[in-house]
Amino acid sequence: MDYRTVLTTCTYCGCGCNFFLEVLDGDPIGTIPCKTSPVNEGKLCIKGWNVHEFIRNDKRLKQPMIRKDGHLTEVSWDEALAYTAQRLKDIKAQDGPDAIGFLTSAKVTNEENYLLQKFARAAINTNNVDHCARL
Amino acid sequence: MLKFSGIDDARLKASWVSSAEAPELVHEFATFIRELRDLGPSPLRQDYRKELA
Amino acid sequence: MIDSIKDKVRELLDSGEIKGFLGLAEKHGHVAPHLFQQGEDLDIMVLGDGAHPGDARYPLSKYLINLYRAYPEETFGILVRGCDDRALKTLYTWNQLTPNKVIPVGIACPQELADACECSRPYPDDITAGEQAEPRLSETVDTIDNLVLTDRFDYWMSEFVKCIKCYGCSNICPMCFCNECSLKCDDLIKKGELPPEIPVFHHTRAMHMVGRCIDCGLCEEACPSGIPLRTLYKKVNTILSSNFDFTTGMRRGQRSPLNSLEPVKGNK
Repeated sequence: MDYRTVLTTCTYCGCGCNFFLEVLDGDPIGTIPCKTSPVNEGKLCIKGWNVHEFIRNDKRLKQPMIRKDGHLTEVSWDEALAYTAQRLKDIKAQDGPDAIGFLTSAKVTNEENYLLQKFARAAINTNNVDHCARL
Repeated sequence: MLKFSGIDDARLKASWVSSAEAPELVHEFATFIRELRDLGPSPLRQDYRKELA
Repeated sequence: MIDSIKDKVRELLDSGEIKGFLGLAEKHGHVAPHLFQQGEDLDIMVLGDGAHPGDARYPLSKYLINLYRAYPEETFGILVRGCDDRALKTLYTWNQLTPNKVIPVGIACPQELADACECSRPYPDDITAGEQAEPRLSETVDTIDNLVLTDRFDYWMSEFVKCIKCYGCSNICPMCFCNECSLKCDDLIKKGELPPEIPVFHHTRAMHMVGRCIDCGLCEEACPSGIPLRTLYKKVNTILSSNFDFTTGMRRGQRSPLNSLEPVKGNK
C-alpha cells in the first residue's frame, strides 16, 4: 500500500495555488487544497479542484507532433526541435523577425517564461511576445 | 429554511386533498392565489446577478 | 499533547493492530494529511495548529473512505477531533466505513477553537489528548434569525450571488460521498450560469445536509467567496434538533429522521 499526499502547484493559471495530490498506489485520486498555503489558504477554483483528472487523460499529448502530409504525426524531440529551429531561421530570413510571434504559457515557471521572451527579443529580434495568463 | 433565508413562508403551502374532493381543491387553489396576490411579487424575481455585473 | 498521540500511534502500529494511521504531518513547511505506516518516523506528525488552534484541519474521514474502498480488509487508525468523530459515526450509519476497521485516536479541541466553531461537542468519545472544552451554542444563527425578513433575504442573496460554483463546499465535505450529485444534475441546476441559480443552488445543498452535516465547518473554510455556509447548515441542524430531537453524529447507529419510516418523537 502506497498512500501519499504530494505537494504541488496548480498548472492552470498564473496564481500558483498550492494543493496536495492524493496518490494511492501511483494513481492520483484526489486534490486537497493546501490550508497553510499563503496563496490560496485552503481554497481552489473548479479547475484546480479537478486537476487530478487530467493527469492520466488519454487525450493528453505526450510526444511532440509535426504535421506531415496534412496529418499530425508523433515525432521525436530531436526531430521536432530541429524542425522548429530550421523553420524559425527560414521565416526570419524570408519575412523578417516580426513575422514570428511567441505565445507562452502559465503552465511553466516564471524562469521559463523569462527565457522565452529573452529568446524572442535577443535571438529572433522581435517584441511579439504574449502569454495565455494575460486574460 | 425559507424563513431563515428571508422568504415569507406564506408563499409555500402544502394541503392534503383527496381525489374525490374537487370543490375542496378548487377552494384551496383560489384561496392560495388570493393570498399570493395580496403578498405581491416574489423577491426572487429580481435579478440579483445583474447587480453584481 | 502531541506526545501522547504519538505514543498511542506507535503502540498501535508496532502491535500490528493497524495498517496505517491517517493523521497530519508537516511536510515542506505545510501541514498535510499523511498516512503513517509501520516503522515510519512519527517526528513529522502535527495536529494542525498554526497561528490559531486547528486552523489547518482536513477532512481525514473523507480520505479514509478512499483507503477503505481500496483496502476493505485493512484496519486504519485516524486522528479525530469532535467533528471527525461525528463524521465517522455518520459514515458508519451511511455504510461508507466499517467501525471494526477504524481505530480513532481522539484529541479534544481547546476552548479557543470550540468558541470559534461554536461547536456543540468539541471533543470525541475517547480522548487521548487534550482537555474537554465547553460546548458553545450558535450565535451566528441567532443573529440572522433576529433580522427582519427582508433584511435576511438581502443578506443571503448578497452572499449567494458571490458563488463561483467551484463545488469546493461539496469537494471538501466529508459527508459528500454520493456518486450522483443533485448539484451536477442539469435538470435541477442549469449548466453554464454564474453565479448558479440562487438561492436554489445553496438551498439544494442545505436540504441534502439534513442528517449529514456534522458541523465541521470545512465548507466555509474552503469557500473562495467567503459565503457563510456553516451558518446555513447550522440552521439546518438547529431545525433537526428542535423538531426531531436529532443531532447528526451524536449517537452511533442513529439514523436521520428523514431516513426513517418509524414515527419520530418531537414537537411537530
